[in-house]
Amino acid sequence: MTGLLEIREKLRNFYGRYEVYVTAGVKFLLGLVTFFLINIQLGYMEQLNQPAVVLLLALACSFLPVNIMVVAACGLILLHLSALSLEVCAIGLCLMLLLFFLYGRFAPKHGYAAILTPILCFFRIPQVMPVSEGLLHGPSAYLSVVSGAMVFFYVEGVKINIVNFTSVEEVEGFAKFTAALKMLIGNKEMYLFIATFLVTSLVVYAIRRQSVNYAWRIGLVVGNLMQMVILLSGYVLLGMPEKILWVLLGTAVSVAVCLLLEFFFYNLDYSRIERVQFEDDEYYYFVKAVPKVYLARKDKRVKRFTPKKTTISRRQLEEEFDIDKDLLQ
Amino acid sequence: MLNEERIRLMTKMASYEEGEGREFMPIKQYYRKDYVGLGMIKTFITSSIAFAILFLCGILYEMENITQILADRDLTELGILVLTVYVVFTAVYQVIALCVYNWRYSRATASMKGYHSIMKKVEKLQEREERSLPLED
Repeated sequence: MTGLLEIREKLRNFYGRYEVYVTAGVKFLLGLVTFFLINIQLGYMEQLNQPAVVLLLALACSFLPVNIMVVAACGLILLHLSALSLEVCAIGLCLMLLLFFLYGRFAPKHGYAAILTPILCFFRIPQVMPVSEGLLHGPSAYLSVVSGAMVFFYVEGVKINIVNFTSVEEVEGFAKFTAALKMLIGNKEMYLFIATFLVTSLVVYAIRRQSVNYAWRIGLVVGNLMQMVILLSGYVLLGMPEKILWVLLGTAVSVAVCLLLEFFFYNLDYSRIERVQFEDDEYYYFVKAVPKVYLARKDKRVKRFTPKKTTISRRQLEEEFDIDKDLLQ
Repeated sequence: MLNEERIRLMTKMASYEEGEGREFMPIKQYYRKDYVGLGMIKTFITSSIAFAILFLCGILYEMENITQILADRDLTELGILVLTVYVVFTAVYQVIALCVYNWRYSRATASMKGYHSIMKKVEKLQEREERSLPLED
């Protein structure tokens, strides 16, 4: 445990010292993964499906606010969709505008959640997001998670139903529009995710705000268990038993990530709780103060209690006391 | 002569202005009513656009049956229905906006309290310094 705390302190110090570079580096990596995945998933526009484009976009986003990365990712998705079919692109644009107008306005600070959710959905571990957002932020972050999830499910739907949008046969005027909308509205798995994420993040947030010992630990355990149960029963009801394994795996990863977050952001020492009670003119105060687990920085100082042994050569002795050479021999 | 205490407080103020203050200071430029009102107007516009998009998507979704729907229902009745849904939709968003912008304003007020107390201390220190300065001939 002490070793882990030492590492945490070192990481904190490192972040404190090189905050600008670390943030830029993290944004660069996040951008790289995001744009790379978009190109892998869609990649219909050949001009944009180049490593150089991904690198350039990621580099630009590393110095800009994270919301710019969200806009760039949306732009890239729409451009790829436009190369596939203008109808799909138009519905995608409508979806993104709706998400921005209805949700984005109330959760403008959670760009990271909006970016990370589709990435984790791609790796099939989206369970991490609602629990960690419930722990770290408030209910407003849920809106960003939902926005990210909806965009992911739309893109995934386009990929699965690509035949509907690439057919060269002359189709009825609005058939592609209708197909794209039906694909989005009829996606029951998406509704399952949205409902599960809402319940989970609210429950986790409510528990971790309680003034009980180990509130975060209880919150993350309850949140993950509840999420797992809802998703498992949902998949069984929807007739998708093949996804059950991924739910279990995702929950395990989510627990691990949440424990890490707890260690870094909420590591309290419950054995040293202090309770204070006092009053002023208007109120009585009952204060419970829980100290954080903190490891004092090791300053190694070597203190000598014995005088340092010094050896003096014969020559130095001769010079110092001006003794004749022959006497010392 | 430099006043270390004043410099320390001013550094704190500058750090607040660069960090949390960036979010909260623009909010506190308004009175609560104005800020919440402005937010609600913005939300009304965005929710109206969102409703228009949803309405358009609804029409596209029901494109195959649109003639049937129009033939079955009276146009005025349909118009009233759409208008009712629109009013309910925007009203819900107005309520949400009212809560969110009020909450944001309260947060900004709480956050700026510390900043204002530091500012008062700096002003007092400055006054004291000015008084202690020798008068020039």
